[in-house]
Amino acid sequence: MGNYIIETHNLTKCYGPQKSVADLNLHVQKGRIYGLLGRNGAGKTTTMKMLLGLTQPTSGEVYIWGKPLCGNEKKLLPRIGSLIESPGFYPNLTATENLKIFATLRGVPNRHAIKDALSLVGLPYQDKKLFSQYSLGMKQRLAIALAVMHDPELLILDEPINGLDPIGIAEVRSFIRRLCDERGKTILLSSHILSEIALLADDIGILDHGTLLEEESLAELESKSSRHIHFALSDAAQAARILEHTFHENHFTIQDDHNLQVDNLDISVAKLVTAFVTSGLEVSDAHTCEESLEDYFKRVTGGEGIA
Amino acid sequence: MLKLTYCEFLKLRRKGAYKLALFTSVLFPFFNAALLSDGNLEDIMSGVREESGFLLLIPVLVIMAASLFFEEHDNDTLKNLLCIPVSKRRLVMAKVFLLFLFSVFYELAGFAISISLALSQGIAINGWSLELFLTVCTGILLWAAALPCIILVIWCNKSYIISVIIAFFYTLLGYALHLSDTIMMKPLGPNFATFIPVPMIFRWLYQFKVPQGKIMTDFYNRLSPYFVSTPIIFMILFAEAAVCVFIVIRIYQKQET
Repeated sequence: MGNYIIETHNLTKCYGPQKSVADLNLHVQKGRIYGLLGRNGAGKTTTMKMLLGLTQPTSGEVYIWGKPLCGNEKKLLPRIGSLIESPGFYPNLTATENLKIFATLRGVPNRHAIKDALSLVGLPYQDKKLFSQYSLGMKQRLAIALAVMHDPELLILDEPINGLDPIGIAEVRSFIRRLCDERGKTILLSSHILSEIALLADDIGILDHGTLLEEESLAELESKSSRHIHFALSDAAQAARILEHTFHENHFTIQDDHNLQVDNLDISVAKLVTAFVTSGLEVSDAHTCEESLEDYFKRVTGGEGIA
Repeated sequence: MLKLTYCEFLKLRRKGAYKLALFTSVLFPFFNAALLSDGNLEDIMSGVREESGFLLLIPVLVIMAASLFFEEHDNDTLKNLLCIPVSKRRLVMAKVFLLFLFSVFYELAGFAISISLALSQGIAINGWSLELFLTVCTGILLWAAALPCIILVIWCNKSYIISVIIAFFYTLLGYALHLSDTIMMKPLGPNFATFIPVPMIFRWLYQFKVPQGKIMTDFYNRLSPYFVSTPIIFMILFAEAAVCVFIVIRIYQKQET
């Protein structure tokens, strides 16, 4: 099973004839933040629901801490904190009263757990305000407080920044980062917002139409994103020969008679231009191209992009 | 299980509808006290058990059940409970147990107010312990009697209005059947309809009455061969309750989270 906290084997969920999640093989490593990235309806929530046993997979298996989830729910679920879809609480109760119910059912031994969890997300303890009077952002904070109240080893957070204002987003982001860095929590979070995942995740899984297209570390993905120097010149073939003989560079692509792409960004553009001009070539354009993560995601998702 | 039941109580905070439901337990005692000021404790108490129990408690239990079972879906809290994990089976058991406690408490509240009103009117409260026993037993049996209707409500899984309509018809049906000779004047068993809870509870309850007047005595004598003993009624209704709870659990488990 390796060192994976979460591992799925060909996890599939069908609703009627439609495959919501197809043959998903997810690998979440210990002490890291895994970002599940995908458009709305890509299957992120369904995947998380299956990881928590909230919905049964049509086929495939979920392993958490190396143990199959099915049949081990009583042992595994108490070690997980979760936030799935919209925050669900009793509207006639206050935040403290709501958390008290779940703390009682979880058998949380720490007497200050509720107070600590509320203070972590910036909500007041024993406030008179009812949950029904909360704003969406406050509801989301309370849901995060519920997820962390029992000090779980693993957090599964579905769109945790939903409904938060920009300051709230930054606070939650830094809070999640600290949970991972300082307290060693493993965190699986989902989002359809690329920038959020890019800012927070160590590892990224790209889910599209229920299929996991990519699963790599952020660093690997960034290195995969295409970066090159583009030249528009009078004779691309002659420029290629100059690259090979003068610069001993083979990492280039001739796009057509007049366009050339050099994949090695270590070579000075100025030196290349000088060499081409000296050899009698006319250079009409030379610029560095960096494909952003978003461009990359657009490419791997077939042009649809993410957010 | 105790924790779950305790939490079910916590969820009731600030819910005016439950207080209103409990308040209905004093309606018939007040009516009886006003109308039967020259009556005896047994008459007043029969109002608590029959009119209040058969006509108010059953629909109140069914509507409460609808609220208790639907709230987890309506508030989207079921996922939080399942992730603890609390199984749907245990959740159903806790909610059904809460209804059980409410039913007994409802009857006890009616009993307490009736005793108070009887004392205030100078009516002797001789035999109060038997009345208390019968009232508590009625609370338990009416809880079991409400369960078949609760199955329907949860199976329909629709709005509260549908639940109210179902509860209304179930209550009327039970009450009408307990007035029917076709059901009441038959031994338990061969006819399936004789196992319908409300008429059966009436067969059990009526044997403790002291008939007064010719009409009541005639009816008492006609019904007496078909009385049901306390152990038998508890056995049958507990068996029915067990089946009902099992069905409720199955339905609740099959409903999508």
